[in-house]
Amino acid sequence: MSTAEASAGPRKRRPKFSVSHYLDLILTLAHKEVKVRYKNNILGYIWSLANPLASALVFYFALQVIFRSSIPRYPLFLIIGLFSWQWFSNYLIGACNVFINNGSLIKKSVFPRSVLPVALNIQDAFHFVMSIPITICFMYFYDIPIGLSILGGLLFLIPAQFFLLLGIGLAISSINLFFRDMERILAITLNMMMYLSPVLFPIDQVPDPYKEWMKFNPMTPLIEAWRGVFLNNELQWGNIGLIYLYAAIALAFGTVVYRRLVHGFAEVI
Amino acid sequence: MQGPHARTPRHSVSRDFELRSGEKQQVETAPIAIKFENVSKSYSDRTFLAGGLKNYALNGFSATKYRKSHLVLSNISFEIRRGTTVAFVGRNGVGKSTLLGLIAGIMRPDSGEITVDGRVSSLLELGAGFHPDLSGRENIELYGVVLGFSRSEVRRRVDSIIAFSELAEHIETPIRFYSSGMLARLGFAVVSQLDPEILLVDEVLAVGDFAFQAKCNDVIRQFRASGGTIVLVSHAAHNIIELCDEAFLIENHGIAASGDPREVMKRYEDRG
Repeated sequence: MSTAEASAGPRKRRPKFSVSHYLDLILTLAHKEVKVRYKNNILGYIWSLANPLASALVFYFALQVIFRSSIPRYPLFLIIGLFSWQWFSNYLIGACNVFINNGSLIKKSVFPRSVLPVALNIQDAFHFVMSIPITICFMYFYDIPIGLSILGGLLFLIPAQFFLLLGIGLAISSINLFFRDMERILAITLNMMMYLSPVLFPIDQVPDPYKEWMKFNPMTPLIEAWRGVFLNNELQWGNIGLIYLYAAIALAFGTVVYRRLVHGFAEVI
Repeated sequence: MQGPHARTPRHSVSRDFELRSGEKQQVETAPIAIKFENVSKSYSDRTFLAGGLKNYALNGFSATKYRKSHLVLSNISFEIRRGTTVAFVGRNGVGKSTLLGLIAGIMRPDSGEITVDGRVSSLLELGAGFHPDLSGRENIELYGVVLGFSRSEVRRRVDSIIAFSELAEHIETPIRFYSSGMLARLGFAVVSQLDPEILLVDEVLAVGDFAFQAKCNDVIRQFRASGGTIVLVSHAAHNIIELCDEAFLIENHGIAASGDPREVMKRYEDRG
């Protein structure tokens, strides 16, 4: 028996989940989430934009009107950072509970559990993409040329952010099942991280020793790269490379944690 | 009499590996659908940090030795042959659902080997994957895909599923407006129309109105007649005696009795 265990694990069964079925599952689940989100209220699309736009308004008032910062086109500058940040924080908050919220599915049926965080990420990516037209409207308002680098952003930056988030999401969603305090820790971390990412200010204004430290925050190159795309019509390859590096690390870490814990999911939910 | 000998198995008998098993009677040599060998399962108190922060800091995720655990099933071995209908009975909390979870592959045993040959569909909880805000039709697709079928497969059968559920006029309504009986119908309709090879049924036959229960029993009988394997957990003696070829009584983490459902049920009832 021990040899059988070594070769095929304690359970031998026909592989049930092919790649195409895995994709089917992901698409069905992501589709479901988007549908549910837009079904409950007619204003679904507007709600998904309301939060970052409201934050932008408040930060604009606090930092530009009261503190008189001199960043040009500050509202546009803000929403570029905030939309990307919104995807980041919304996804991680959702991912934290994605297995718990789908507990009945996990306890009662067999399917690759990783489809849940993947589908959730697709849903949040979808909302991010839907926010790009708003950014373009702001660009039009501030007379910024709308260049082809936006396509480059869609092509390179969205996958980078997707995989970065997926890696972190896999890890925290798995850990949260065994260590429910994860949720609180995440809330505090996200709160701090927002001010430690260049959402409200350009990285150039950070004084020197801290500036280098901030590069360890994966959101720093990401937000900087998005600003490059929208404000300067440029693709910052250095930053893009750095995000992919962080994404690879996050994915590797997330996969290891997930694979280690996945077999206990049904027991702890 | 309804015993394992009552029906001819779907698959013929003379395969090498079956002959090796020696003097078994011919009718019993249908291929094995589910096999448990010395399977043990315990649940650990895995509320993280249960062993203290220090232990986790020192041992990481593998701090098993510091966890308390409750034994559920110990050293269980049995075989279920293809085409048979088998029931597990026993008091609440004795591990029947754990057993089904192990067969379905939702959980892993601590030790021992489980072999399952065939596509498993479980009626562990009807409509477990349903989303209240989606319509019946949308939920059929979702549930079917979660159960392991491709989208196109589910779409092809969606009409027969709706017909079976008898919910055609409510199928576009979000299911949060459904009654629990209607939900059960929808769930059962999905599972029954997607023809699994092994069906796991966990006390769900008691839902739905009388007519629908009769329909469920019909489906199970048909499924059985067409050579499907059924594993059933139930407390309803008449269901077990009527439907099953074999029954297992689970007690004290092990199989206390097995064999003819009538006798097993009698023993179970005697012990209260």
